[in-house]
Amino acid sequence: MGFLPRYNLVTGARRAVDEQQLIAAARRGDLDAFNELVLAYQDRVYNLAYRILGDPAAAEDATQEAFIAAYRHLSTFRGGSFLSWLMRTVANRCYDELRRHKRRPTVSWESFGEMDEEANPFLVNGHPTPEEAVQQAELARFLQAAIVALPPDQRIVLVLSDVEGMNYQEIAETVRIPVGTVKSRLARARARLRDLLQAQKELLPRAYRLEDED
Amino acid sequence: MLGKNRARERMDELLSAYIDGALSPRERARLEARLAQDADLRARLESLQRTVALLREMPPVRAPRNFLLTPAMVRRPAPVARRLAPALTFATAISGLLCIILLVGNLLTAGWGGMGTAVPAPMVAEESPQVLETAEMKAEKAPPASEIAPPEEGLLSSAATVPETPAPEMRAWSEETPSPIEAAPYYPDMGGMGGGAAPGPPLGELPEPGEEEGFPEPTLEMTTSEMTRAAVEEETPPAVTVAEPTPVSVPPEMPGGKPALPLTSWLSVGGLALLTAVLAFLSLRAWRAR
Repeated sequence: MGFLPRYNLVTGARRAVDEQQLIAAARRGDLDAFNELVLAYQDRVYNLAYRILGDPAAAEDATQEAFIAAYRHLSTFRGGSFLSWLMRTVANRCYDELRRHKRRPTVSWESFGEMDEEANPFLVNGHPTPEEAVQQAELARFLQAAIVALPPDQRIVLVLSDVEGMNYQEIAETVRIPVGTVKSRLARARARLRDLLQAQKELLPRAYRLEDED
Repeated sequence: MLGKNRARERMDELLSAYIDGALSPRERARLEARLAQDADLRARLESLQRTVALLREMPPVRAPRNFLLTPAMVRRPAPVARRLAPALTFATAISGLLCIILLVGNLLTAGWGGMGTAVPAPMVAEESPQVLETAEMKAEKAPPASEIAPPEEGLLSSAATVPETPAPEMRAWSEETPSPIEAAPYYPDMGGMGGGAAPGPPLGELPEPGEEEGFPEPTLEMTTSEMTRAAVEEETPPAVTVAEPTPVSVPPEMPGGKPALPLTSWLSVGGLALLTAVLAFLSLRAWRAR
């Protein structure tokens, strides 16, 4: 294999320096260099795609396509945060995908009650107790089902803001809508999500319920 | 009810921006003043804050596999062709359309020329003053097309007046062109004029025998009949000796028939058809490359 996952060994401090070198090499057509970047960021990129699309297979496709597009358009990257640029690339792909197909998520809000543990086996967490781990996984699945129950326009803004931590300006540039529209869509998405969670609160683990029972 | 919903939405927007610290200091102060008084509003803010907190704490999912790129994935299949595909398709359509238009135009023209009653028209007309007029006009400084148009009507009617046509007027042609065969290059133009639809060569490219013949330079103000009379008066005396109405005996397949269309018209159709085929082939390949 020509691709060595060097990043498993390097520290974060070296990474920043390395990143610039890798980008420069990739721009010259060094695919191995670009693949180092792929290994470094594929989890972040896939996570964003999965949160927006709510479908593991579609998220895989979007992730792969985003990396291909990023490699081909590397010349349009003008410095700054490479990760942000990459996230914009995948968010754009997901947004196009949502608009094109009005994709129905495989993890639907309606079917959440009957969902089994296998539906999303890729959950990552720290080192929680087994009980916490189960609760966390359950909550994550619950939230994901609620997210994909939102209309696509609101969903993408919500994920970019509250899952990815982008600011209004970054979201506006990514989705190509005015900042004012970002604001209002985000507000509607959050309010709607809150209402969904409150309506289904018996499904939420007790520790995460929005309102106290007593 | 609607107003109430709108007010609620507006409030959610304020609360949402407040959570992100995106309110102006003034908006922020006003909202905080309201929050201090309104317990319901505080509850709504808290539920929104908890919702956002839940999202932010969502554990990330891990990529189910590696997304390493292979050379095959990033190979660009003919990027130029890919970008050109729509343009090529458009060009194909335009070329095909032009080809059909030209073909139909040619067929209509040639069809008229080849039809029984119409066949003699261009031939006979060669003797009629009107057509000669046209030829002379072309021979002169190519007057505007509008001045040429009237003879067209006369052309068809002149078919019946063949006998009255004074032969001497053919002198211009016979002198210039000893045999009908050699005259052929001129006939297509006349046929084109007579048909009125054939895309003949531009007037400016026509041969200019008039200069050699020494016709008086007609001014643009001269009417076509004046020009004809002038030409006839000038040329009549010597013409008497020539009087050789060869075109009358020309068989139908000669200038008046299908060959009345310039060869270039048919070549254009063929060329366009070929171009269309090539463009269609390229478009197909370009689309496949996508």
